[in-house]
Amino acid sequence: MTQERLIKVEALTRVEGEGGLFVRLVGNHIEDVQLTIFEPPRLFEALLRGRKLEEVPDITARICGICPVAYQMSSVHALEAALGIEITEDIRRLRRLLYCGEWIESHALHVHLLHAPDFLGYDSGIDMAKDYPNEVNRGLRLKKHGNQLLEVLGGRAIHPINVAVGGFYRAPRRDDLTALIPDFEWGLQAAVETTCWLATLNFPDFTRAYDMVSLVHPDEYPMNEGRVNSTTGTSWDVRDYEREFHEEHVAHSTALQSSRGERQACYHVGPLARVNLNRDRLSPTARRVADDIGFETPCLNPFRAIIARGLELIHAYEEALDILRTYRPPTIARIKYEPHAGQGCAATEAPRGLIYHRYEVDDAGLVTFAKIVPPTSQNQRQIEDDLRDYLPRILTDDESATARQCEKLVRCYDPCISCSTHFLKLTVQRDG
Amino acid sequence: MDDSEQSPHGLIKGQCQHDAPASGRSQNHSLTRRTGETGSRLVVGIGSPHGDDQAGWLVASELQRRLVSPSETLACRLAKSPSDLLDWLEDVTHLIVCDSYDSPTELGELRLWHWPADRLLRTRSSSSHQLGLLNVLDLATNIGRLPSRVEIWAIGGGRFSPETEPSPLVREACQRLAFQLWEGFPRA
Repeated sequence: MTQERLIKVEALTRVEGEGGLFVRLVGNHIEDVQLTIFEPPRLFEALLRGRKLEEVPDITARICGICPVAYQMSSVHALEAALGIEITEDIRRLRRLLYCGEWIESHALHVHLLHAPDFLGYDSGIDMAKDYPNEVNRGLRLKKHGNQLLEVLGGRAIHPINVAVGGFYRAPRRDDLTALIPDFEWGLQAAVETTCWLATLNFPDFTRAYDMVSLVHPDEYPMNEGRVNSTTGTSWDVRDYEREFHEEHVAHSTALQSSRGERQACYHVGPLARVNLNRDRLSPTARRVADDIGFETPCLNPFRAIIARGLELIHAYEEALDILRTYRPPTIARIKYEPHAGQGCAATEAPRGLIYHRYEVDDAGLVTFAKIVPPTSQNQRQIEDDLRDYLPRILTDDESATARQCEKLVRCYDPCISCSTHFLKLTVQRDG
Repeated sequence: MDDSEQSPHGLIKGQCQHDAPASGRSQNHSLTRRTGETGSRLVVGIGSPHGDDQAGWLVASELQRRLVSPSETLACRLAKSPSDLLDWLEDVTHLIVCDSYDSPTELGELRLWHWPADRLLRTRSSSSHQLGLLNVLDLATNIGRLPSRVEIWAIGGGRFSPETEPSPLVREACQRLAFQLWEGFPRA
């Protein structure tokens, strides 16, 4: 009789999400892989119903402590679409600056403290710091720059409060932003060093025929708007997102899982998808570094997403510097509007990938419907699919070693259920 | 371990043994006035606006209030997250951290540890993006930022509901601790 093995990961622990991993094998054949997410539903969409639309950005910012900007800006853009608000170029640049801050703090942390230890043989960034203090110090300093930018522009580093439908409650003073320039000039060089260092890491030889999806904008690297493109060559207007991309509930997850098209296929969102689809719109220094380190696109090795994050770190610094150096406080910080009934949607790029929001409001300006699709729910099915493919290559009788390899693959996606240290507790049930 | 005995910032009471008996209302704290002592002190109160979790902030705020003019040898700061510490350690030779711990049966009691405090339980961080206090001190040690002298003061708290007021006993304890710390600092 063929022996059945159950590999169960009890708890993937982190504030942003709680989950585990379940693998069922018969012999060495993988019967089932489930990324189990058991965090209680947070019900944000229901919470928003009946609220004034002005409250939405501050509420949606609370969805995530590491990428609040993506949530609040997606909601703002969707609500502005619903109300027919057109913002000025000055406001638009300030919003991109806010995105740069978030990408810097998120990517710097993930690259240096959460993901690099996987490639260097450490259990955590804290352990890695003993042997790589310069790299970890650099990462902390870069993260701090991102937080500082969010503080100046958003009012505070975590859950910014200065973002409003129509613009900003208050435009930052020029001196406050220009004071950041010396640090950001240092940061740009440090981001280059980081990316060159990341390119020297040893990556598992694992590539897949991914369907990678990200926003694409004709003139700029995608952050706050664009069309939804796939590496398969398809492109959609954001208003058609829900026709192509679907969410469904699966029994083993309290997070909805996304899939694409009639085949309900998985797809991959995040920095690797963005770089693959937008390499020519990276900033000049990021493009040059990508060439110098021989980063070939399309890159279909998920482990190399850490390099894509490095390239985006460079891009964010370079774009931020451009905005900081030319900033003049806008004459109008917020476009006025009158509430009226309408519906609108928007997609932006969170550090972890594409994020989609849709809202309906009534004549009183109250939210009557809200839909939020975060990046991690879109990647969830892809992660399971990756693990099915990856497990046969790494499966051994040593379940803890197998679990560690699985963790490394999961962390490539920087999901809100990963953890920098041991987030997998592995138990194996053997029948017979 | 009883989860109820855990600070929101990862400070654990539970099985921990404090290095110095600091609980009670008339304990002898370890700080003594040392005139002529050199170096820069940093007092960091870690907290949030939620009930007794304000304890660290209350201590640091009280010291800030007493510190009427900027000092080169003493700074007091309020942190929302332990990782804020990492940005403030330059040139600091003596770090004093004040934080609350969750233990309703020890409301207002003070505990003191000297770092490295091996008997403080290391706990798994609840988030990849949020390091607990002990993780932050470990990290600061490993990257060479931690000063040679580190004290951790913990104030027992019992209610941590959002936006609630601190317990009267916790307020009292914070005042007492601030006074003791202040009295222990060398004067110019």
